[in-house]
Amino acid sequence: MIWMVLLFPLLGALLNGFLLPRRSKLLSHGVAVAAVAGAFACACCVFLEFFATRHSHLYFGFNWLQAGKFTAPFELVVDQLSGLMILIITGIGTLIHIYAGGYMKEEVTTYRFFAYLNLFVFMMLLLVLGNNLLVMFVGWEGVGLCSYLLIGYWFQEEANAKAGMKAFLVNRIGDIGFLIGIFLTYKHFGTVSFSELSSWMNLMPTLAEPYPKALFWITLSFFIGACGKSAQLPLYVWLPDAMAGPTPVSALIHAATMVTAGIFMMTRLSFFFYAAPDTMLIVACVGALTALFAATIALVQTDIKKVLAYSTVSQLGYMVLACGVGAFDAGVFHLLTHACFKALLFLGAGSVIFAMHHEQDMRRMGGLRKHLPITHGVMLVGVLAIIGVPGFSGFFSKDEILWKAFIFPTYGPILWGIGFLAAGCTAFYMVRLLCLTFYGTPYQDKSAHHHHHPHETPWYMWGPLVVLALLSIGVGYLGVPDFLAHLVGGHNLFAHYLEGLIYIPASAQGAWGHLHAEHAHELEWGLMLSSVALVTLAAGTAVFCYTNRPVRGVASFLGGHFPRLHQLLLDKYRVDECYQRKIVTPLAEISTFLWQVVDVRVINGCVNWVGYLLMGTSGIASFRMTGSLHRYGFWVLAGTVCVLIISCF
Amino acid sequence: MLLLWIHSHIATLTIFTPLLVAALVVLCPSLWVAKWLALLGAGACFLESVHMWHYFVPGSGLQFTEMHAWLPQWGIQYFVGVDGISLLLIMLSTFLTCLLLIGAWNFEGKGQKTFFALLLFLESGMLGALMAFDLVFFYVCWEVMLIPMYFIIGVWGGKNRIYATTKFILYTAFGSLLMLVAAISLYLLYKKEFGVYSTNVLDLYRLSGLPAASQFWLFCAFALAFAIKIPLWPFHTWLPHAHTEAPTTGSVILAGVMLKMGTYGLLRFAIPLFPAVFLDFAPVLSVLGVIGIIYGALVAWQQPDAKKMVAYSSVSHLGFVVVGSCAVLHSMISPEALTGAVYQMINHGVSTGMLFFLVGVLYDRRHTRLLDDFGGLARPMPWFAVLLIIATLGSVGLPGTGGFVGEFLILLGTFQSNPAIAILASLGVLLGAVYMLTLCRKILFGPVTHKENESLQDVSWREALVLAPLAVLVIAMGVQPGFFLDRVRPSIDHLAKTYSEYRLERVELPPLGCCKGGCSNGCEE
Amino acid sequence: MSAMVPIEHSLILAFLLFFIGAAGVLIRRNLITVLMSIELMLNSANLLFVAASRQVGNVEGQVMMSFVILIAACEAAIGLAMVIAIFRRYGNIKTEFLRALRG
Repeated sequence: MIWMVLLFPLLGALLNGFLLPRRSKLLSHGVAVAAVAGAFACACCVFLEFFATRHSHLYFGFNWLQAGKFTAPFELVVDQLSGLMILIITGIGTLIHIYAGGYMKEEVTTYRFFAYLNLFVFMMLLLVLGNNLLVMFVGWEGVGLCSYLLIGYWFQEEANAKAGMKAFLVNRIGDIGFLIGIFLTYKHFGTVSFSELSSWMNLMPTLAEPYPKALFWITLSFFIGACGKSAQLPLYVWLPDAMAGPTPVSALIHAATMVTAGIFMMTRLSFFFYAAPDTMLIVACVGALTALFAATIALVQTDIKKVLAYSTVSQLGYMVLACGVGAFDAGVFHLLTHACFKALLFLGAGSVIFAMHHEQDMRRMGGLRKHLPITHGVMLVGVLAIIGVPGFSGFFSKDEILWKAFIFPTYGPILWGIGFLAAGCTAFYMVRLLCLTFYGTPYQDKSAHHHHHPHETPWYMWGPLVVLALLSIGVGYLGVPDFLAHLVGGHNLFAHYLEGLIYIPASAQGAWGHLHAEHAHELEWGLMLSSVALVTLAAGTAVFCYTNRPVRGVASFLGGHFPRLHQLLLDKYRVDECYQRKIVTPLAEISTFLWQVVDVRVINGCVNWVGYLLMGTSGIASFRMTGSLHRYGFWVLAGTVCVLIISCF
Repeated sequence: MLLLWIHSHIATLTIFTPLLVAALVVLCPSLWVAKWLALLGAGACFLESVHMWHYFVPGSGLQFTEMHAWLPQWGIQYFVGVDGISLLLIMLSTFLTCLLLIGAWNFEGKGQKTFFALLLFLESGMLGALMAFDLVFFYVCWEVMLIPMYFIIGVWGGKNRIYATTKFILYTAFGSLLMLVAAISLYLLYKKEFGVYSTNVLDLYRLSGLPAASQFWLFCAFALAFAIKIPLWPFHTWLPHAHTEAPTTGSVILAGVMLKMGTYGLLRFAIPLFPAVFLDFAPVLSVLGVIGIIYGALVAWQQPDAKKMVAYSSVSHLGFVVVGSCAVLHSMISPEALTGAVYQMINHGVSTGMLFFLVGVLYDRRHTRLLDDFGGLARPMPWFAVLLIIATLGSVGLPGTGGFVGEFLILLGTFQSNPAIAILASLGVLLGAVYMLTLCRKILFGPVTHKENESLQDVSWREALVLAPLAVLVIAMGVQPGFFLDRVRPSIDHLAKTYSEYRLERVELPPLGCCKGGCSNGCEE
Repeated sequence: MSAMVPIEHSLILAFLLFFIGAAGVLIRRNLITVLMSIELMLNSANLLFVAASRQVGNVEGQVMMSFVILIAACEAAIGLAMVIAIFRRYGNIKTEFLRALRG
C-alpha cells in the first residue's frame, strides 16, 4: 500500500510528461487528479493501518547506495510524523490539483504543468517517508527541482526563469548545509538511518565529548538546510520571488508543503536538536526574527501574492520558533493548520486574480464581495484563522507557540514579545488585504476601455476552497491547548498523538525540564487574552484605515510622517539589492577576472611562453635549415663520406 | 567452438575488433557500406564488452587475462586483463563509440569514411590503454590515442583547429614523454631489485625497495602525465581550446573517455606503484583538485560560448574525481570516496557527453554556439529542452541522477579524511548549479530573441536515438547505482584498503555459460 | 664459363655509377631527374652486392639485390606519385619550390 502512495503520483507524472497524447487538457487534468486522489486514498489506508497500532513501520525497498561501510537503503518509514505528512500532502494536494484544472484552463501546455505538479507530490512524499537522511535528501532536492520548474513554468518571461533559478540556488546553499550535516552525522554515528540514530540517542544516558560539540555542528548544519527550504533569515529571499509561478503552485509548494520541509526535518531530528541547546537558541532567535521581519514587510506590500508570500515567511518563522523553544509538537501543529489556511488563502487569492484577469495589484481591486461571494466567504474564514481569532485553527496553534516561547528559560519573554508583535502585524496586514480586495468601493480604471465584471469561479474551483475553509476551522480542535481542553475534561490530542515520536533524549532531560513543569494557568490565560486583544486592536485599525477610499492606512501614515521608513519597508529592507551588490556582482567580477586574466593571460600565457621560448631558442640551431633539398642532400652525402673516412682509420 | 574461442580471447578481441574494422572501413569503396560496417564493428565491440560485463565475477582479481611474450629478451609482454576499476570505463567507451557513430551518421564535410575509421582506431587505443597490464603496451596505446584525436580536431575542427590540436598534442605528449622516461627508469629499477627484466604491471607492483628520491621523481613524472590528461588545474589550458575547436564527436569522446585516462592512470599506476610518495602528495593533489572545482566552475559561469562552458565544467567535475582519489584516511584511501571517484568518472562521461551532443545539435542547426544567439528554445524545441534539463541535472548532481551518487560519495569520504577540503569542494556543488542553470536559462528560457530560432527543428529521430539512452543512463545511474557498482566494488575496496602494498591476482576465466549475472561463487559449484 | 671479371672492375663501375647518381641528385633541379639519379645510386649498390656475392660465393648478396630492386620499384612508384601530386599542387616539378622545411 505504501508503495502505491508513491507510485501513483510518479505514474501520473510519467503519463503526463511522456506517454499520453498532449492535446486534451481534460485528460491531463483528469490523470493528474486521479493520481493524487489515488495516492490520498492509499495514504488514508496506510494512516489508518498505522493509527490502529501506533507502531512505526519500516518498508524496505532495495539497496540503493552502498560504498565502503556506508549504506543507504531505499527504505520508508510510516510513523506519527510521516503518516500525518502524507495525509497533508496528498489531501491538500488533491484539492489543489482539482482547483488547478480551472486556473490553468487557458494554458496550452497543461500536460507539462500537471507532470511537474505530480512529480512534486512524489518527491514531497519521498521526503517525508524516507527512513534515512539520504532518501530524505532525494526528496529534499527533488522538491527544489519541481519548484524550480514550476516557478519558471511561464518561461517566456525572463523574470520567471530568473526567479526559478534564484529559488534553486538559494535552496542549494541550504542543501550544502544539509549535506555537511549528513557527513558529520556519518562521521560521528556511522549511520544515516533515522531509526538507528534515534535509538542511539535514546539509549545514551549521558553524552561524552566529542558528542556535544559534534551535535552542535550537526544541528547547525541541518538548520542551515532548513533555513534554505523553509525561507528563514537570511535565506528567505527566494520565496517572495517564487510567486512568479502559477497560483496553485504557490498554494501547494510555497505555502502548504515544500516550505515546511525544514520544520519537518528538524522535527525528525528533534533528538539531535534537544541535545544541542546552543543551536536551539539560534533556531529560536532566527525564527522569531523572521516572523517579525517578514510581517513588517507584508504591512505595505500591494501585490496580493507578495503579501501572502511574506505572510508565509512570517508563519514559517513561528514554526521555527516553536522548534527552537523545544515545542516541536506545536511547530508541527502550526504546520498542519497553516497548510490548511494558507492553501485556502492562496487559492482564494488565485480566484481573485483569475476573476480579475491576472491583476495582482490590490490597489486596483475593491468591492469584490458582491461579485465573488463564495470566494469572499472562504477568504474571510482563512483570514480569521491566520490572525488567530478564537475558535479558528490559527488561534490554537499560534497561541501554543507563543506560550512555549514565553516559558523558554533563555530570553523567553523577549522571544514571546517578538512573536506577539508579529501576531499584531499579521492581523493588520491580513485584514488590510481583505479590506482592499473585497470591501470598499470598486476600483475605477479611467483608462480601461473594456470593463469586465468579475465572475465567481466555477464549482471545481470554489469546491476545494470550501473544503479547505472547513478544515481551517476544524483542524484547530485537534490541538486545543491543555489548559483549555481541561475545561471540557480533555487534553491536547495532537501533542498526545506525537508523544511517541518526539522525545527528549535522556542526556538532555535537564535542559528541557520546563516543558513538562507545571505553570500557572492564570499566566497562560493572561497571555492568551492579551494576544486576542492585540489581534482585535490591529484588525480594527486595519478595518478603520482601509474600508473607505481614499485609503488612509499605514501607507499614507508612514509615507506622510516617516517617508524613509515607508520606502524601506516597500523595498523589503533592500536585502535583495544588498545580496546582489555584495555577493553576486563581486562573484561575477571574480569569475570574469579568473577567466580573462588568470586563465587566458597567466596560466595559458605561461604555457604559450614556454612554447615561444622553445621556438625562439630553436632559431639558434635552425639557421642551416635553408629548405633547399640539394643542400640537405649535399650535407647527407658529406656526412656519410666523413663517417666512412673516419671509420677507415 | 567459435563461441568458446571468443570467450577465451575476449579481451584481445575487444581491443582489436575496432582496429580491424577501421582498416576495412578505409578500404571499403562504398560510403554507405563503410558506415554500416563501422557501426556493426562498434556494435560488435560493445557486445563483446557486454560479454565481459556478464562474465565478470565480483572480486578484486584481474579477469579475462591474456598473456603472450612480445619481446621476451627484454621482458616485454602483451598482457591484457580487466578488473573492477577499468570495467565500467570499458563499457562506457564501447557504448559511447556506438552512439558517436550514430551521431555522426549524416556528418557534414568531407572524408566521412576516414572519420569513422579514425573513431574506431581511437576506440582501440582507449580500450588497449584501459586493459593493458604491461607498461610498454600501455604506453603504446596511450600514445596511439593521440594520433586519431590529432586528426579529428585538426581536420574536422573549427576555425582555430590547428592551434588547438597542436597545443593538445604537444602538451599531452610532453607529459607522456616524461612518463616514458619514468617507465624506463622503473624498468631498470625492477631489474636491479629482482634481477630480471619485466614490464608486467603486476610484477612492478611488487617493487618495494625503491630509493625514496627516485620514487619521488618517478611519481612526479607519472602524476604530471596524468594530471595533464585529466586535466588538473593548472594544467588544463589545452582543454578549452581542444573542446571548442573539436567537432561534436571529438568533444564527446574527449570528455567522455579520454580525460578519464588521466584519473584511471592515477589509480592504476601512480598510486599503487608509489604509495609512499602518494601519501605525501595526496594533500597537494586534493588542493589542486579543489582549486580546479571552484576555479573551473567560476570560469565556466561567465563563458559566452556554450561549448567552452561545458569544457570548463569538465575541469570542475574532474576535480571531484581527483579529490575523491586522494581522500587518504589512516593509510588507506577512503573506500567511499574512491567508489565515488570511479562512479563520477562514468557519470561525467555520460552527462558531459550528453551536454556536448546537445550543444552539437544546436550548432548543426544554427552554426553558432554563443549563448546570446539563443533564448526561449523550450518553445520551438520542447524535447530538446527535456533532454538538456536532464543532462543539466545529471551535471549538477541532483539526487536521483548519477552525478549525485558520485559527488556525494566523494564528499562523504573526503569529509572523513579532510573536512576543510570537503566543505570547499561542496561549494562546487553550488557553483555547478550556478553555471549549468545559467546555461539552461540562456538557451531554453526567456523570449525568443532571434527570428531564426522560431522555426528550429526539434531533435530528430537519429539524434533522439543517441540522446535518449544517455538520458536514461543519467537517471538509471542515480536510481540504481548498485547495478553498476556491485561488480566493481570489491576491486575498488581492495585498492582503497591495500594501496600501500597493492597486489593484483589473476583470476581463472569462468567457463562459458556459468556465472550468470552477479553470482559470486557459482563457479566452483 | 668465361674468365671472371676482376672484382675491382665492378667496384670502380659501382663507384662511378654512385657518384654520377649523387651528382645528379645534388645538381639537377628537375624532380624526375632526381628520382632517376636515385635509381642509379641504388643500382650501383646492387652491382656491388652482386659482385661481392660472386666473389664470396654465396647468394646472400643476390637475395639482398632482389630486395633492393623490389624496394626501388616501390620507391619509384611512390616517388612518381608524389611528383605528380607536387605538379598538381605547384604547377611544376622544380625542386627549389619545395622549401617548406626552411627553418
